[in-house]
Amino acid sequence: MSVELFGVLLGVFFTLAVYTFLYRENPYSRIAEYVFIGAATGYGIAYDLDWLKNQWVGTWSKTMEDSILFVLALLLAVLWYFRFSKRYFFLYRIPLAITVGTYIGLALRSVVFAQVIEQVRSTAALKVVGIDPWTAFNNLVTMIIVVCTLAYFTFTVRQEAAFWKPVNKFARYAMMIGFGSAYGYTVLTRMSLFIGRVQFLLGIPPNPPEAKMFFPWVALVLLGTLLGYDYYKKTKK
Amino acid sequence: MATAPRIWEKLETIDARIIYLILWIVILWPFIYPIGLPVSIGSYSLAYAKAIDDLPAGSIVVVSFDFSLGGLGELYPIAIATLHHLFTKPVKIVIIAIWSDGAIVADMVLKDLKPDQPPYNRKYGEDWIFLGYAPGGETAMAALGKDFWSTLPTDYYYKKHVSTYPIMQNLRSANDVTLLVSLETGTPGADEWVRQWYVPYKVPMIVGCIGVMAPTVAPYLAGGQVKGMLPGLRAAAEYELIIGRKGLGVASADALSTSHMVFVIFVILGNISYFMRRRSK
Repeated sequence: MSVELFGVLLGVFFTLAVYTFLYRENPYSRIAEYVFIGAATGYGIAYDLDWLKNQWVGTWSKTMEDSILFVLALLLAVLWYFRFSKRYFFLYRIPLAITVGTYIGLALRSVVFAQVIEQVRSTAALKVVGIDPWTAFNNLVTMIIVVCTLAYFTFTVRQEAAFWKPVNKFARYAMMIGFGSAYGYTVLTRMSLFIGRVQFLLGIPPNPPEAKMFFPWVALVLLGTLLGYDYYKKTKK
Repeated sequence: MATAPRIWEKLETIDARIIYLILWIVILWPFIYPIGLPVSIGSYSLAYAKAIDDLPAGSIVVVSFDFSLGGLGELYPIAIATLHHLFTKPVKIVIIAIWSDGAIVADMVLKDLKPDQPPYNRKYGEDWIFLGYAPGGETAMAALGKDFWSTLPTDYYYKKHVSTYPIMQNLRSANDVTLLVSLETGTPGADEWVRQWYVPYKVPMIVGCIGVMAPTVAPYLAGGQVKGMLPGLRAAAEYELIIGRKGLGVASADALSTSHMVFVIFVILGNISYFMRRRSK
């Protein structure tokens, strides 16, 4: 068996091993889970090291000052591993603080423009006259939903007056519809992931056609051993 | 009449494995016996295709693979169709990955498409380049926006310095980019690209994402920061029909429809069962 063919066989085995979890938790699904985590971690580390090498060769090895900075950055990165030391745990906080600070700084410089101002501007610019009736209705509903939902989360005002009740009720319904839509998309994603694996198992191009050959046999072995073991345990009792 | 509540009770406590088995059957079936259910095309997909169609000749397009192998089911058809569409246009394509697995997926897609060969005949280093993975998430996006050469100094395939490639002579920062295409499953993704590329550099962007991300990206469409979106496998099928290249998206459309029909039936049955049980009490 060639290496490529063995790779396909492994792919079929691990795909089906993961799905045996649907029957019950078992050694196959555990093996698949651990191998996946190990492989993903290995890939991550290998790619990060490769990037570091490229950075050294491509940029940081050119002058002495840059080289010193590069080594200092590496030493700083090593401090992450003090997370596992009780005695020197405090050292781990240094790279953590730098990372958190960098990310917050990067996000803060543009988050208001990206996620607040543009959205307010586009909602305020919605037209309800001089356009086709369906778009006008859609825009009107959007505006009402935005105002009501924002009002729902206004906690600085005591919402005791009578007019708050329908506003809050409408906001709740609007949010429920939003959550429902998000959930619908979640279902779509899960089904799509499953369909992707089914396409692999059936060897639909560009997936390797050999997968189709291995699929029934591997499925038979996995299901057979699981069902057989359960039957054996049941009869033994 | 006394047996009626028991039926609803049984329906509510049905073994989940039976539902899984039914789903396996309804998803496998259309692949073996295709039904050919119709696929209507939505406005998001049309806008996504238009953003690519409207690119002027010689534009630089950055395609970022921001997903891991887990997102292949939905994003592989989108990636294939998008790169096919781009390779048929007279534009320069720079491929990067912000997720480590993204580089593996990009490599898979490029090996599948073979841009150097007919019908594309695009020259590596001149018409397109693959720069590989840039770690750091949002910090990498910010660094790329500022300076491509120092963030990704070598290319993925030949490990040569980027300054040796003609395509990179006109690409130093995000200011040189005409369109950003992000294929993504989550964070870092659209939020971070908008923050680091749209706000400071006003780079237009289109997004191919998994379905579950659609509600996150939709506000950016309304705000005009994102020009088009392909959420999930269903949108991949629509896009394949728009560009006239049927692939995995269209092939999956039947299975997607049948699985959702079963899902809807189970939701309706669950609701009927709940209300009938409540009524019988």
